[in-house]
Amino acid sequence: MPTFTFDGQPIPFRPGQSVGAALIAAGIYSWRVTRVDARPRGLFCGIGVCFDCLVTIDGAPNQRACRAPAADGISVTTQRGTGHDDLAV
Amino acid sequence: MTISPSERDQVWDVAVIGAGPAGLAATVAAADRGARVAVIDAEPAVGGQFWRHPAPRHEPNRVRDAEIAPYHHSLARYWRLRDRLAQHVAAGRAAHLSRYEVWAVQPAEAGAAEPAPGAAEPAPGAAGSARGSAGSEGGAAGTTSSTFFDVLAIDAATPQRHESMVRARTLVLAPGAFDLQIPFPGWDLPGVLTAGGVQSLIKGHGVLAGKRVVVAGTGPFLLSVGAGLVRRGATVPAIVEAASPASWLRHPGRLFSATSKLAEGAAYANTLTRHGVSILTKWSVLRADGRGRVESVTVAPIDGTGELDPDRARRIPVDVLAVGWGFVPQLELPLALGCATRAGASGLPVTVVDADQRSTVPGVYLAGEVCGVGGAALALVEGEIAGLAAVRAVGATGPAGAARAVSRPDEPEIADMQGDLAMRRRRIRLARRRERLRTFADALAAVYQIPGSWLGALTDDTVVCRCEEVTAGAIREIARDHRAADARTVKLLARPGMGHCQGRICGYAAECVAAHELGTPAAHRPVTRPVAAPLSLGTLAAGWPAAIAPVCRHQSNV
Repeated sequence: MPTFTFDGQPIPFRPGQSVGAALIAAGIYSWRVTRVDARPRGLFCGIGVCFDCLVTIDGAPNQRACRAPAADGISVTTQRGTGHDDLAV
Repeated sequence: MTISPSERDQVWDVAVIGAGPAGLAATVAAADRGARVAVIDAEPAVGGQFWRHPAPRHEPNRVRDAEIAPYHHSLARYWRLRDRLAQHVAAGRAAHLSRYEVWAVQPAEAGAAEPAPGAAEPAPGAAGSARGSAGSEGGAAGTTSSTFFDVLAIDAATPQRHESMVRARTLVLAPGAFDLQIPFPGWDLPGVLTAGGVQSLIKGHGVLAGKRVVVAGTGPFLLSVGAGLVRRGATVPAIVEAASPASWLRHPGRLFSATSKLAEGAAYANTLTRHGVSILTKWSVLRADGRGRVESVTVAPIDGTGELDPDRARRIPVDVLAVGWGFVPQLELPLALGCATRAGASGLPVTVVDADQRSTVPGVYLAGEVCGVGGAALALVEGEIAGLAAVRAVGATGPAGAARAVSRPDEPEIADMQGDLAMRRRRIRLARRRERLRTFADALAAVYQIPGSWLGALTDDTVVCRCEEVTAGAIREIARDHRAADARTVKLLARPGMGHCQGRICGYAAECVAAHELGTPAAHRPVTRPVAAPLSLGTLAAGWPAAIAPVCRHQSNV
């Protein structure tokens, strides 16, 4: 079974699944921390409308987990705030 | 102003946006009659939300159609349309541009200031490729039109999100709808999902959202989601339906047997009954609780005064809560073109169309949920009507073309007459069917109204705008201090709707909260969003995109 990693943990998936669907299938429900109140978020609308499921994929933040296809070997990491902490001064 | 022959080569007869039931029916109806059609859709497979399918792939262990088939209805119709589209694509009459997110549509005049430099050559990897193809057979001859439309779309399958353009003489917009949501304490906890999201996980990904799932909100869609969950092996402690307990609702089977075309509902009801799922009517969600994710939902009956009765509340342990309150039509593209709207059954705006699904903008046809939420059966009918009307508008070979090609190649005039007659009959049938289904949809909408009880249960510290994390209290304060009940003022002062989703999720609720605070009715005016899908500044800066042209014109002698 192909896998990607989420914060270093291997997540198996079946071709055709999104990153968000594979995470839910693995029992993971949150992968973002909001920028104001630091609240956990994950999949909500599931169809690309709400942007709640934003996540960092291979270093690129603000990817919709519900739309991003799961792919073998990609690195998915929890997104904190805007996902651009590295740009903070 | 007329389009020169070389420009015409770059223009499709019809561009259909959205490949759900409405868009798929429109595409096939138009291509069947000889029009050159490009259908543009954000998903990997045609079908929309109703017939959501995973991307077709060849790897072992993939999510297979057969696996998700039990969760679908009227699949035979889907397969027919999908196969027909594939035939048209193979024959070069149609292109299916999958995973393209349309971010803008705009009218363009031939010879206008925007010369579309990219339009001279077909975009690499677009037409003719595996994901979008157009081949050798020409379609519409006939009249030239002075106006055409540019559809600007982002190719979501490329990591760089390349932009492309489709230029067409007519548009059929069938963008669909998404779940209407209202806030309650705890609704932003992970594990609280929209009912549509839970359904899409099953249909599109073969994934069960949770093991123990309460389904709450209002509308017959909740039954469909509940049935899908129990069939897949989840426990559904309750379906919590906020609408009034009319007798037909207590026995959903009776409701749906009223229309033989929606036997679908009866099947859901049977499944739920067999699994012993209780349906609480005139109950609603009071709050959701959990540490870091949802662990329980508290539901309460709506009392005689229309408020939730906390004294009779029940707390139900869950690992997922699915909520849905009807649907919000996606109006970005119709509004961008200036299509007129009216208040729909839910109070939210829907578009105005005539008997041919024509919008108030010449050349623009609308079908499906944007014309008023009515479900897949109605969307199929509206889509076919729109596709046929678009073909007539562009003067494609028309009904005769199809008939001539198929039945009487030797006697074109007889074939023409036969085709005309068949077409007239078909259109009468479609009109009647649309009338019936629209009446039924209106009756459903009247039953499944969102009760006002949620406003009383909404604590000041509850987030309403999930993107900008704006609370109900902040919206109420702005409404009081500035006498502001309209969405725009509230948005400018308190920021709900300024975030990623641009108010798609909280827009309805934020306006209700502000209006309620001032004791006025919520207006729910249409909200224009010039950018209908996310795109990068780099994409904009890259200039006018290359056109995906019907390449057949370059290869044939038509």
